Amino acid sequence: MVATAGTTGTGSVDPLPELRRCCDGELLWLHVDGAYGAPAAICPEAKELLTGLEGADSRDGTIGDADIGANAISNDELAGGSVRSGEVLNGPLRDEDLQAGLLASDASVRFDNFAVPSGAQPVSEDVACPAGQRALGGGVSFGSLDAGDRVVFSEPRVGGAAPNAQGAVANGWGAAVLNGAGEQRTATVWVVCTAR
Amino acid sequence: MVAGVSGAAAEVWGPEKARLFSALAIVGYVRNLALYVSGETHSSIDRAVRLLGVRLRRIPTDADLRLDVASLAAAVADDRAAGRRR
Repeated sequence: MVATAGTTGTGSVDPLPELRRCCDGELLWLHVDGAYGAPAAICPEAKELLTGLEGADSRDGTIGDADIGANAISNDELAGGSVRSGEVLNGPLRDEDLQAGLLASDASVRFDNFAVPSGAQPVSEDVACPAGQRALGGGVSFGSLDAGDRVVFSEPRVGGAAPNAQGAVANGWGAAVLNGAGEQRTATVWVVCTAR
Repeated sequence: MVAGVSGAAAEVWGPEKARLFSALAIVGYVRNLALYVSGETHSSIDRAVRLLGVRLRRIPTDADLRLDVASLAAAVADDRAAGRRR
């Protein structure tokens, strides 16, 4: 059985708890396709819509997908409408992080905008979780990706595990940007935090 | 299961025919599988199922375009009645 949590056409979510019961009775494997919708589970207001996602035998659409960036920060409250879908560059997140995110009632998103000056000089910015919380993951987005000849380099890093550990934060997400000649750009760094 | 079939068949038929036998056993196993989706399921699932040779059953959706669980149960019951095993 392949159920869908957030269909491509309309965003509808199949009745996952009922499907789980039906599949249990018939000894069917329940896969949930959440490539489009599942990452929204990290947002408290969407969690109820996706009840049952955690009960699937297998899933796709972890918050490792670019979707989580769009979902997490396209929320008007969080992003102030400054970030558009498809402009998110992401780092690796694991399925177990999604599980933690689904279970964490306190999962939240922090973000910060920083100016990327004109000219070939590196700038970096880190966004950390509140004390006592850890980063599940995060990402970086730029005001515009069509200026690819201007923003020439970015290095997301999390947990100090990046090759360049200098400046990395233990409980946050950071980016280093080397901007080419051209007008000033704004980049957004965001991080998903949980107390678990 | 297939390895066991292959071992027994190899004694009777020799290795080449045993390999063919194993391949046919796999095809037979796959042909016995069914996958249940709705009309709203992404087309990539259709493509994968076509490549694999698994039978696709499309289950109706309700007014909210959610897969109808009662229809799923009925389709599974049909397949069981037609001899598809658990």
